Amino acid sequence: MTMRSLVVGEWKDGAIADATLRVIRAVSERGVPVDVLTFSSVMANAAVCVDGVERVLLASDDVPNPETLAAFLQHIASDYSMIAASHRTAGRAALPRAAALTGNAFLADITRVVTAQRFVRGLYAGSVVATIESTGATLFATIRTSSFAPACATGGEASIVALEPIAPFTATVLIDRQAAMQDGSDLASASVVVAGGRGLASKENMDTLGTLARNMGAALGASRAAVDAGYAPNAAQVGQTGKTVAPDIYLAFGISGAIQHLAGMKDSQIIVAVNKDPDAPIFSVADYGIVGDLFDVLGELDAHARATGDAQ
Amino acid sequence: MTMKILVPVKRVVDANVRVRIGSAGGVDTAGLKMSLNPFDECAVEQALRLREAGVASSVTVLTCGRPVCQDVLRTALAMGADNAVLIDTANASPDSLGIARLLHAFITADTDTDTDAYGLVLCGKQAIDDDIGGVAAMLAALLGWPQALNASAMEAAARGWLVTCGDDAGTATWRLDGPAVVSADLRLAEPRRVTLPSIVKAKQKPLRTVDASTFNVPLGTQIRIVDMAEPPVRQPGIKVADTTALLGAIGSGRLFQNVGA
Amino acid sequence: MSHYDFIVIGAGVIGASVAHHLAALGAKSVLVVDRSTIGAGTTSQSSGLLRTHYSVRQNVELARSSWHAFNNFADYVDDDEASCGLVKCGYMICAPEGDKLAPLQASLDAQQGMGIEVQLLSKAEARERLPIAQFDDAALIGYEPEAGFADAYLVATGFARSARRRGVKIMENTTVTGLVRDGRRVTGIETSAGTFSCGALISTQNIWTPELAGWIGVPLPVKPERHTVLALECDAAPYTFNMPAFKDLGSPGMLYFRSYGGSQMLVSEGVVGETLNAPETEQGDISLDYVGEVGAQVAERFTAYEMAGLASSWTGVYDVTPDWNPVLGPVGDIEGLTVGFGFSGHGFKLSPGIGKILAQHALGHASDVSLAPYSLDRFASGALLVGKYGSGAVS
Repeated sequence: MTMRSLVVGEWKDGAIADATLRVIRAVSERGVPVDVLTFSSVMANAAVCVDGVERVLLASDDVPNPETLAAFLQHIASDYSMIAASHRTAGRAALPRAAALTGNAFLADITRVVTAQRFVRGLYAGSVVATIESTGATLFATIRTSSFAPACATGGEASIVALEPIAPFTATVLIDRQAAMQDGSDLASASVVVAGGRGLASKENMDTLGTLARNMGAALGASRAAVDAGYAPNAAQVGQTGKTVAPDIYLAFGISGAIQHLAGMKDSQIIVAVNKDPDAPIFSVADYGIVGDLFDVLGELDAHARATGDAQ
Repeated sequence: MTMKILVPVKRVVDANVRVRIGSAGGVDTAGLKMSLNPFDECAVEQALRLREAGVASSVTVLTCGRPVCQDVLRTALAMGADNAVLIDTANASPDSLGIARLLHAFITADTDTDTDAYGLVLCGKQAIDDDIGGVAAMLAALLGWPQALNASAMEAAARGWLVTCGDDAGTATWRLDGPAVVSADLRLAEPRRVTLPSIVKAKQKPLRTVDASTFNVPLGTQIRIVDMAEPPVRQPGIKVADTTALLGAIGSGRLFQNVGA
Repeated sequence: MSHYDFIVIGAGVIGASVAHHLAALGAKSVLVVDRSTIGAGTTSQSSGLLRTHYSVRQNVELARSSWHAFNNFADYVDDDEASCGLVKCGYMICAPEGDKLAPLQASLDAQQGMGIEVQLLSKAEARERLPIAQFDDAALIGYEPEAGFADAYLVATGFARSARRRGVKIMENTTVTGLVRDGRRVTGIETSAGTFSCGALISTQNIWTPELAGWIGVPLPVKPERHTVLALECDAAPYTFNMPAFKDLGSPGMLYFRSYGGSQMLVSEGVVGETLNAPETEQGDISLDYVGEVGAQVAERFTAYEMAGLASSWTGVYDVTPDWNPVLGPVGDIEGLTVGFGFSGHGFKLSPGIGKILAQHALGHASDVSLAPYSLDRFASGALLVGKYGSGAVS
């Protein structure tokens, strides 16, 4: 019974992607041999040096579309008890497809490897931590790379195995790529959110906050109290009966922090609160809090944002 | 030539509800507010827009679960879907592959040469309860169709679809030839409000139930939850004196990560 | 073990009001405990309506003094920056021919008799104030200008801030697990953060009052009732902030309405809701059929809303007593305990007045409004405070 792991590798900026090194480390914790799948000889030559890798599989010299990659994986799946990739676009598209082609299960965004068959991942947007046992022949899974350290890129001595090419899937054709354009206006997906509460005191002040948001490339949100008062439109409301957001940075200006509002932003990576009331509940969830006049902070941040913009 | 659109949807714990782990070690959803999965709602909306543009002749919504799941089908009908199907899974708890197999069997059985075939399966990119996001790609595999995941824009093309998808570096536009499976991001389409007249109209629309057993598909699971726990508590933060201190603590690079983008 | 002259259980808008008033009336040693954070229970789900219209006379007096507080909130709590989020749009109420007409007339007469400004409007005048509604079937339309709506959560935190400034200690995320007794006297509380003794205990536990009943072995009649609130959007007929809040006694569901966000319509039924099995404030299911039923009633009065969209919906919970009026005052012969529960959906609008009389009672002062009619005994003696409109939140 084969118990090997396969990592679908990624190449970035002329080197094995840091994400791939972390996936290699993650699957290494299963305690079974690790192979890496690569799509160019340059990448294969780099992969043989990674510590912990036993074999490097070299497929065609082009990165395939997800459907073709899934077909590749289907061909070789029976050699592996686990096929893993980072929780990024390519893996999330190809791995579940390959799982279905081979009659296997798929898991996303694994954060911990407990045993060769047991893994940890989040449910309900991370509010529950679940331990999962895999019982199928080959588990296909994406890995949350930020939960693992990278394997060492040197010290390994893997062998290269060339794979037979397969017919590509031609019904999907890449037409165009567009670089990330973060104008931030989309509240639900913005990485930076600037939100205002009752403390803004007027629609005009909320508009000033909107200018800060624009200058920061952030989306503008509001608490129910601010929406209720007519300072902001209903579409900007964050919280229960409004939108749930999980940006990298959430800046709460003049928001007291009612439970209904917290429910909508508690999963933000960093929460900053500015409020003149030191007892405001928002400070109990904020990573950084400023007790003071929000208009001072607003003006200072705006000046910094514009200076940063001008300098670019 | 027009075709039908199938929108598989899921009934999930409402996004605003705080789930708790009960004394039995699992999440008991009885009594919790349940809703149409938000990403699926966007898929329904996009499907309706394609029908309104004349690209499709009808929109069918489908869910796999128990009869209580009919409420989300009714919501979709009230948004404007033409008909709804409940595949009753009885006591089974299929995993993503099981669901994909059911959908595949339904599509295969429902393809009728006298009427339009399904030219598009449009679903949400992930369910907000398990956050796996596997069904769309799995169904595409079983159908042998092209797939496009995390779509933020789409339109009909000469022989299929043009879909713009969010990816790691920004977005990419793909051409899919022939019938396809597309999964929706929230950006794809802002769902329309259910209106009072549409609630009344929805009661007249067909909603049928089909036993999962009629499809002869294995409904087991190859992944088993063995433990559930609360996540670590968010650590209390610190107070900083002013904006300068804040910039020092977070770093202006991170705070202004989107400036000039 | 810490000792406080007064301990208040519950930091919702009622408990926060009690705490503010205790301190404002001179109490120096006050502790408030809450299992969660200030206003995180049913307070935050309040629709915030403010009016002085009641068919139970005592409530009119409490409402009037409360209105004064809301209308002058910053002065009332002595804090320039305090705001209760008041929208002073007035309150309109109408009844068609039928069984609600005489009670409405009597209530309006009583209000006028107590010096509260109430205007009787013609259909044309009503339409001027609320142009998106039609009043074809209205037999009587009352309008009180000194009314509107405010933000219950802001008021709770405003009272709490004022209380803290005056030396009150508020302990959040602290669960009370029992009482300390000395014979019939309550002398303290046991909590997740230790035991505290007190000279007097005031319980404002809302739907969690049954826990108190368990600790003292006395039944306290209150049950949690869930109510649904809808926010409707109709571009052709926005409900703006200068349109009055409105109570439609002609609708089967005794609907109340107000502006939400300056353009949407907030609407909810004022009849008996769904009784819950256990006290909790989590959101409940709202069926499309229910939305359709309420929507049909809305469209009767606001004809453009026949095409309205459902913008959002949520549920709130009332602590309901058998006569839809609160229980205030002592419990039997138990010394050292004052209760204030069962506001049945009109706690917020009376919170300043209630907080003051409960504080006065606890301090041994005469209270501005007598607590006697609100006594727990009334359920046994039959002297119920039933509003003239029957069961429902307009008492």
